[in-house]
Amino acid sequence: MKDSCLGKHQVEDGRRAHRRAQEPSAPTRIGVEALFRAHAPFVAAFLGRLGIPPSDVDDLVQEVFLVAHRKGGYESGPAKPRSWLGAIAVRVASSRRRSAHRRKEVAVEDEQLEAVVFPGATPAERYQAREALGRVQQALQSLDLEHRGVFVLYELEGESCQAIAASFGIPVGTVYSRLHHARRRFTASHRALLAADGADAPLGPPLPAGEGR
Amino acid sequence: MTKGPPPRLLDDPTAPHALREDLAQAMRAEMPYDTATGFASLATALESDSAVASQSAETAVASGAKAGAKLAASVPLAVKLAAGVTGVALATTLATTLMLGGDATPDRPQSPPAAPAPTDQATAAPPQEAPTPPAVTATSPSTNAGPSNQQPRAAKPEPASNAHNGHGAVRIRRPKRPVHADKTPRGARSPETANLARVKRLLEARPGAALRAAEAGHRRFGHGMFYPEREALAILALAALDRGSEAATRGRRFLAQHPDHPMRKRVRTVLQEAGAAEDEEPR
Repeated sequence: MKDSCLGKHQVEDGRRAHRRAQEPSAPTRIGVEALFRAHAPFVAAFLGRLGIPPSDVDDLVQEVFLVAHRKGGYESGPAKPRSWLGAIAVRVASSRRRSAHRRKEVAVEDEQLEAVVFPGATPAERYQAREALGRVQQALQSLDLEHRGVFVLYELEGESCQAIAASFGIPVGTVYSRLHHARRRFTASHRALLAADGADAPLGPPLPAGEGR
Repeated sequence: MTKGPPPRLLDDPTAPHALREDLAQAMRAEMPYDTATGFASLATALESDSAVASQSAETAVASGAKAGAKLAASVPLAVKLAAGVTGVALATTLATTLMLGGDATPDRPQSPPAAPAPTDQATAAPPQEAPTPPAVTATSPSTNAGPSNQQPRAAKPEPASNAHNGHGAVRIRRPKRPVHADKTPRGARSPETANLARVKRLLEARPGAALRAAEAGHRRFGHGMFYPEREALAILALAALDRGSEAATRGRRFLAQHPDHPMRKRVRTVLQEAGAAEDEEPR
């Protein structure tokens, strides 16, 4: 109704302005220094979960942020800062693995467990937590790096599938698929570890075939 | 594959109980990371990264120009012009690629917008880019200056129009300029980085000296880039010197000013220990 009172050009201008308002606002950038301050501990922990030995974590954290710097910092969008840094970390860890001499997984795992702290835990709780973490780390090692990265980001870091997809530059369906395979393998590996430990903890119901989707 | 996301294992009642417990424990685990030291190393790494990029760009420019010259010398006169153009274009491409980080990855096309601002403070890029245009125009007398941010890209087609044998080498040095613009913050940042590294180095063995270095850093750099890290280290030094009340006062102020700082946990621990020590004291 209002349109009829306006000239054709005014209507067109109004529509254009409306369209502009509908468009997402200009992305904001976060420089690597701010990123580092906010997320360096996360990157270090994430690299540890990817199976990087603590002695190498510092170097790789640097590499991750150098790559982030070369990319011009983080730009707001569907990829969240953590998933974006996580995707970079997976690539950096992957290239490191390819170039470096592969170390004994068991030694790496021991090293990791020694480095980890459980704030506020009693010695007994700490022991239990170490055992649990050891199983999780070992089960994670049954996954290849790409599946491990997606699994850790989703299951342990609470990132959304959309953010992970945008960060890795893959479709969301691929994230679901990787998660599905990663969860299946992780669960099986964890169950085997529990059985090997002779743990009397209840194994719980077996995962249904459609689990994980 | 248009299904929704699966429930997280931790929240999935069908997942084994032991598995969920282990995952919960793993999520509670923390890997200690020294952000202050890491930050100092990163600053140094960024500097050397810029320096390497600059050197690589120069090398690429020189080799590209050489290649162009060689080619030009070895082919008939009729194709000299074309060869010169090829060499220049190759050099420009290489230099531009290296300027973008020395890493010619396939997803590089996403990066070019970031290339003219190699500084890590991407949001603060405009003031640092400001000196770029005069520097570039100074080396490109025969070209009409395009938008300052797009200099390396704009350089590509231009040599074709005015490539007069050896003159291409001068023009293709232009991509180097934005990196030189990065030298300003580099020079200003290094002493503060060095001071922070010194504080960190002294903290364990000589907390008194670490505190003095941190205070000197405060006086010299004020609320500079590393102020929060320096202040946190000063608080740790105070605690190590058994100056609990001072550490607690400054610690509380630090936590109020920087509630999300990665070193907040260490500062909080100091506060707790200082509080416990005060409680234990009979006075």
